[in-house]
Amino acid sequence: MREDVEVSQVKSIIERFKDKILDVKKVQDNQWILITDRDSLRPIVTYIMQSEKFKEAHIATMVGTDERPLRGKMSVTFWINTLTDSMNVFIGVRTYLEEDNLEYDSVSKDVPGANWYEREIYDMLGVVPRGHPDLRRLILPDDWPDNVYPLRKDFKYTESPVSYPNYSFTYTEERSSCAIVPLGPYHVSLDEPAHFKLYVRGEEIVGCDYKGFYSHRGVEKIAESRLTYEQVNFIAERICGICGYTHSTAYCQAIERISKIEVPERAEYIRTLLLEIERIHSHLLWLGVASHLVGFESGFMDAWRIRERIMWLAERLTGNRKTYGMNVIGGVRRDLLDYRKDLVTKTVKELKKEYKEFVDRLTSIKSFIRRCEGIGVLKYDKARAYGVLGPTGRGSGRNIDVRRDHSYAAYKDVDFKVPVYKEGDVLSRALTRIDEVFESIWIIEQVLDSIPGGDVIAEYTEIPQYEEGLGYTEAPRGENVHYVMTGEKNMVYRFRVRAPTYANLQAVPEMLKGYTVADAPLIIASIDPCYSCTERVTIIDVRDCKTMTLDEYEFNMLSVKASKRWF
Amino acid sequence: MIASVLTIAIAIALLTIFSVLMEGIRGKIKARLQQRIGGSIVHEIHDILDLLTLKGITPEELPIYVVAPYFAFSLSLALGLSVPFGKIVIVSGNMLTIILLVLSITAIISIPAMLVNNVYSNIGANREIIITFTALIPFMLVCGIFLVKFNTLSIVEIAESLLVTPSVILGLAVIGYVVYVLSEFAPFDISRSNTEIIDGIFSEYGGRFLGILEWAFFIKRFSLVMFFSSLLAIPITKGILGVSTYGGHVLAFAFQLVFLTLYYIIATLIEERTARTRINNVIKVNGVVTLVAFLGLILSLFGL
Repeated sequence: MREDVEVSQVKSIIERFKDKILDVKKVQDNQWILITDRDSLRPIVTYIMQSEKFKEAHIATMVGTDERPLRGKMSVTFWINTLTDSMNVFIGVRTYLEEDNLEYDSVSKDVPGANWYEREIYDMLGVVPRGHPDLRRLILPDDWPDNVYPLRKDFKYTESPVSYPNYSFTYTEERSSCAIVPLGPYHVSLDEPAHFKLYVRGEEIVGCDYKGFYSHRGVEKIAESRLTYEQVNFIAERICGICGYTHSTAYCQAIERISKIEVPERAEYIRTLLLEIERIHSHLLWLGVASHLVGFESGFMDAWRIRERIMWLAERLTGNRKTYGMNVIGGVRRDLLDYRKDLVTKTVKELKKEYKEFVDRLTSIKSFIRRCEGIGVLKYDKARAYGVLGPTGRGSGRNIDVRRDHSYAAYKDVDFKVPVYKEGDVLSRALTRIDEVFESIWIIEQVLDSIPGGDVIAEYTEIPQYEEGLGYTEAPRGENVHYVMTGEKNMVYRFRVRAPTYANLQAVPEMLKGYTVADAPLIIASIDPCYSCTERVTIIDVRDCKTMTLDEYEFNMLSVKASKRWF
Repeated sequence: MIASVLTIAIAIALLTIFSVLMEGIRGKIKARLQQRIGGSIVHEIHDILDLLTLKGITPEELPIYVVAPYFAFSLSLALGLSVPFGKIVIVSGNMLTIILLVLSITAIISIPAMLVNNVYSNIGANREIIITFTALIPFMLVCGIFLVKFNTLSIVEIAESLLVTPSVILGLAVIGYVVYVLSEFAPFDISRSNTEIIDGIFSEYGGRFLGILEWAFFIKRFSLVMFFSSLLAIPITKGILGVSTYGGHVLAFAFQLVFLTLYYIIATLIEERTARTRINNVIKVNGVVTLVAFLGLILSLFGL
């Protein structure tokens, strides 16, 4: 039945475009690729994205691959998550481009959410989306030379070409009558480099331009050039300082799907447990930051104090507060011991009580609510057009959640609600996250009740070459997608990561327009852009190489001592 | 002569040290409320002294930036000396002087912030001016109430002849609010908001100049709260020990310090329960308070 519905959805697209579809491949369960010519790419993508049939369709990722060593061409694939009432399928619309004509018709004018994806493949591979509204450099630094494309296979990852800076960060529209507020690249409310150029009249924001990717680390190139399948897992977990485990899970799932590895059920449950622990700490972190940004410091302190419980729990279960290192291809590295289950139960129970008190207090602070209500509104239509994901999308009425729509790990076995708010303002996004923490606690309780016995890792012998597939998770910030194309010598041929912030950030300029400079930090933070933090101190004596790890009390006392004055 | 010099010296010492110490105490209370250990209560004093030892940093070549912190500091001290200590008046002791000095401090901080090509400073200055002007309008209306009721604007004389009438109660409530706003306790701490406009009016200062400005700001806040406390302390003292006895002077000052401490504690508790507001809300709330003050003025004209 499932297969039939899935096929009928793909068929409906094939029938509509008939001879323009050159080939159809089912690459994985629920993942299809339609191959078309360069001229039909735009109409097919636009049709799927705008069709009423696929009411919550959005671009899951876009992958450009240098396949010249394999077939003498480059490929461009729009992976669309087609969400319908009956069946959810990832459809990849692909075209191959010859080296002497690397152009295709841009879809960004019809689908605003495609803007960055197209700019990125132009930047990294030199594939030109014809008619793109804003083809400025997106990712590479200003002093990167023209016509050097780092994701092409003939570019060595060790190369470091430099030319003269060519600053392209200028707004295309004339804004001479406005003052410019430079929110970034370093701003106290951003916590990581990003540059929002706000065009203001008085304090009102009338326009916004964004420049980011200051911290681009070339993870994909490193993965493709020098790491084995197992090693990529570790770099995947280090993509994010907050939700690294979700990246690691998505990558492992992609490889497991391609290799048809049956992950033991117990491992799936342990992954689910850790994913929800990660979600709780991420949302609590955000609630603290949001409080801080509007000057409600006790909310910030409360949220982070409660968060400490879940960080402590993660450390007990995995050995690390962050970057758990628990995933391996085929399962998890360590089992959840029975006595740890009691620990989790006890901690979650205490957390639930404290969290409820905190939420009651936070939502009773009228000034906090006033700062969030009716601010940074992103209407449903815009949210869908930009493909906004996670709590940001759900706060604008998008009823999407990968855990439910494309069930993975143990989510198929647990019951949970997907909170959706329709107002689209900062408050809606906050309430979505608040509700999600309760759901996560509920999921953890169910996982502990019903975790099955058995192995935690499956053995596998071979990963097939030149197969492809998507791994996906619902990260704290939304749908997280990893595309993998396997290669030779135990290495990936193409690795593409699309974190949810990539989709959400594109909509921020829309959220900012019409509001004031005072609201800008909160509006930007409301999509919960990623940033990392260090919370553990280890003292190393360089002479005898002895290490000493401070506990919480010692750490506090050290800071008290450091700030102590001479009277 | 010696007594006068001694009084001024004690007053200045009190203003310069106690004002910063109160910030440390506030910080400690906040920390305890947030279940933190917090810094020492002398932390702020040390920070100010630390800043004073650093090289002063100002933007571009604007001389006004160099002199503004010193002017702000002097004016804040003058504001503090215009407020009664117990019932001892050192300079003026008149409500109009308070208005004039508050306006002068705002001007000397805002003008350089508006001249520099930094949008955060400009926004901060804009907010500072709006807050001051919209808060001083109800304050002036309260001056009107006191003029009608007591025929004077001398703070001590008003406090000594304070009557419990509807207009006077409204007037005192309005002054309590205006002092809170002008002292920029949260949620009114928007002209120097760090997360929104990177310290606003102070964003172009660094080192010694920033230290002097911060210090001036603490003195201004302390002076305003002292002023409000004197309006409450003197009438209570009058009821206990009379107005002109030596014990009356001491008791009035003691009560003033008690009210000052209470005011700081209440402000800290309010700050713990509130998020920062927006400038349009400040204008709205100050507008409502202006109407309340106006109502008080009308009541006073009818003898109430």
